[in-house]
Amino acid sequence: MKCFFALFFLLLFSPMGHAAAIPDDAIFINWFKQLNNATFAYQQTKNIPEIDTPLKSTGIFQFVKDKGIFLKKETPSKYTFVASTEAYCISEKREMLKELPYFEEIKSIIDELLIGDLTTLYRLGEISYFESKGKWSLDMIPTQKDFSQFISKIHLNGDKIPQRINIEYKNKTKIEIILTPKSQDFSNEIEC
Amino acid sequence: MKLNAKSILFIGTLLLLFGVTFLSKGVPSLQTSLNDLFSVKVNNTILPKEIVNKYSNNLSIIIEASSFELAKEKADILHTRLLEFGINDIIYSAPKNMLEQGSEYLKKYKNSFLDTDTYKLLLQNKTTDVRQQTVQDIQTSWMPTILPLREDPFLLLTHYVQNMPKPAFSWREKDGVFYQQKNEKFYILMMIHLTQNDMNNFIEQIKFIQSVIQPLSKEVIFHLSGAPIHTVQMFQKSRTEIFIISLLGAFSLLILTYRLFSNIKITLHIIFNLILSFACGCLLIFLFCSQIHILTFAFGASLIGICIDYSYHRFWATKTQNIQNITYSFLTTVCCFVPLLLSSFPLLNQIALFIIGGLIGTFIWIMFICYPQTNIQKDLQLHLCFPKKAKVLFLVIGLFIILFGFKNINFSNSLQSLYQAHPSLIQEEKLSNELNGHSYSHLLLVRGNSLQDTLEKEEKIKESEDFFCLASVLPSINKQKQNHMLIKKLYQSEVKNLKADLHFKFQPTYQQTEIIKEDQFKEIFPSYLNQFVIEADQETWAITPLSKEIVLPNNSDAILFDPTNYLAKELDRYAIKSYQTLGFSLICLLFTLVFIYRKKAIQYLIPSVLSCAETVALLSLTHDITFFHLLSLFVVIGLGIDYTIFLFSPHKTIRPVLFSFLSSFIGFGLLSFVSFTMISIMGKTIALGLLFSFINAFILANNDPENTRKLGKQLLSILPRK
Repeated sequence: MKCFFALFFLLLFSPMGHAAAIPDDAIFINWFKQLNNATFAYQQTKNIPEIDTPLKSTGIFQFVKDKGIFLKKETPSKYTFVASTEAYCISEKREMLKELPYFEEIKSIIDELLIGDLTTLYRLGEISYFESKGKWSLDMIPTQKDFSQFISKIHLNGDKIPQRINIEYKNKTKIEIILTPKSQDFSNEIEC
Repeated sequence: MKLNAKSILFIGTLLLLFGVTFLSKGVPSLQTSLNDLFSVKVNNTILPKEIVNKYSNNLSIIIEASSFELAKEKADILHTRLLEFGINDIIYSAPKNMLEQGSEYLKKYKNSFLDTDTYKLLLQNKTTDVRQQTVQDIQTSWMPTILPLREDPFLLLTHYVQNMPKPAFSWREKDGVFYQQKNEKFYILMMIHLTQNDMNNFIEQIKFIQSVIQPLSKEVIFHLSGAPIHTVQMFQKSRTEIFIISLLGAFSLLILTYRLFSNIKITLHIIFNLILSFACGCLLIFLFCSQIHILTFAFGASLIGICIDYSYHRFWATKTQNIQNITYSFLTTVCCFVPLLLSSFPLLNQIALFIIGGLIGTFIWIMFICYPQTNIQKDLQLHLCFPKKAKVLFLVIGLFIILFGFKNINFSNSLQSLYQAHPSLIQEEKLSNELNGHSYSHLLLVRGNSLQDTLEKEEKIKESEDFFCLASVLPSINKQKQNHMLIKKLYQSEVKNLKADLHFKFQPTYQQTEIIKEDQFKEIFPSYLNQFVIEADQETWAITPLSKEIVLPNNSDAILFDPTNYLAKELDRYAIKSYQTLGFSLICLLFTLVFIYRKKAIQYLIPSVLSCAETVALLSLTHDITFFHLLSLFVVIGLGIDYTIFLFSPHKTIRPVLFSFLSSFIGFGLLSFVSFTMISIMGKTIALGLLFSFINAFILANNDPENTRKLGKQLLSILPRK
């Protein structure tokens, strides 16, 4: 979960699209460059082939530049995950998580993207970007081995801000995440 | 030089003994590595040499290029050429599709693996907690599952992989090699384990590797690091320097000898005596030692000084008094080195054997067998007189130097004190450390009677603090059986509840899997066990690089080994023992002097003791005092006492003493310019020590008030006249 949480963050807060294909004045590029602090409520629907009913969950997610990430799952069970710039922990249990796999690599990719460097992203997969009438969409087919053996495709779309993420796994599991901007601030809780 | 019957008999006996020794014991092997000096002991356990050498003989080659393909192309060429040359012990190929291979392996034996948290819960029969955690993960987690839910409904394997501690290894696999990418540069790793049975062969291997790399270096950069490259560079440089210095030393010796005697015949006698003494020293050491360290010969070079001393005095005069002095000198020097025979440090034993053997040989030769009559001018009676005040002043200055020096003294046997790497090598090590992510600071060594025993011991250690080790990928058979049983129990009690919670479309059931045996593991990961398991002394050692120091339970079968600092700790340990031996040598020397000189024994001892203290004090102003400084003091005492004996004698033979001192001082002084720090330390310490010994003996020698002359005229009269 932790590894792919990082992937989720990576995809959400990365300017998408091939550097040559994404215009410099693309909607999402503009939003990303100004990004410092963003909070979203999310509704997740997970469809697993072996399970009859879709699995639904909700929660809140906040990103603060140079500080970290706060994730609070509210339904069906409560769970809080914090990723500060130095550590990862589960807040309620005050439990420090074990070292995240590929932490150094993910951190270096995030640091590069935050300064506008897109090249790292292309190492992860093939990206196609489309923008029309104020709306944009992005598709990513992972090619980097660690991701490509598990994930078939990732899709994002939105207008001024990201609104939906779809992840398709190789084992046919599908996740849809709908994002709604929120004004709540949990930045004080981003520490372990 | 004419050989009489006695000399022919002596030489013949020597040759016969050599022949018998070689026939019965064979040729002893020469050790060149610093590791060979020690039996590394950690927590009272002697580490097998195989482990120590494993990491000190690893050469790391990192190929840097602007693209992965280019780096791989060059690396492949290098690898092929190395194999053609016969260098086989290379880690280059990563298991292809390592992730998939590892994944398939885990899937096949899924019931053998349980992560620590789940294991503890199941052990406490908290199966409900496990189920609830599984439900939560399936409902919300974005983490893909390793196996389909049908095969692993409780996500046990997924949790195992997710929670597996990270190995202390930063390199990733791509196209069957270990690689990294940093800042648009691509790096590929190749590690070569070199055998170091023979230094020349070792150098040849490194030179070959460098010669293969050189033409490939046009578009890529090859970074070499590791102990072997340092060893070879140091050895090659030092060999040239020592050769030049030896020539200079030999030349100065010849010049001094001829200047003293003005006689070619005597010069040749002395050279022959030197060769004989070396032969006798070698004979004794070959008789008792099957392995000889090269440093023995380095320190044993002090034999030259002793032989020169005896030869000069023997050929200088035939007066009984001087013959007596040679005998006393022989006895005291032997007494000084005998305690080294009792040391538990093999190097000290070897030095003692070599020097004592050489001493005996040279003594017998010049005293009883071959002593040509000479027509040397016999104006030997030099009545030295330093005013008492001058002597007191001299002593005060000496004490001041000692006090000041000892106030600032620092004892250290760290690698930095003993070795200064070339800046280019330092850069290579820095890159290697950076790419390895400072991967490990310690090695965890766990030993057992068998592989299974070792794995069980690793698992026991992991209970208190989890880390990646061999048991993480190859659990012991007992552990696997336990895991199978716990998982089966979990299914029996909770699988129906899990289905009800999540509305599975299928009926999840427990699926039996096999227990992993060692042979099966080797089939899948052929080189893994070779890399991390060593069989030595009928024990199995598992080696795990750790990125941090962990706390071990009180368990003598597990050792935390710090490859960087163990040498310093061992040298510290031997230094303490050597101080004790030095003290014992001084006591033996004192007893011998008491036996010879009765009440004047202390007077004879003072110059040697003073010179040791002054030497250490002066050197401490600019150096850390190391074990090798201490070792050199034995030589200072052994040689320095001779100056005292001859200069304190009523019939002073100052010219031979002076020329003997000069030859030793020049010889050892030149060695202090060698870039090999240990040799340089020896050279500086002995040269300075002999200088102080000579000056102390010269100034503190008894004066003859009836026949005193002015000091200046006395000093001038020392030089031989044509």
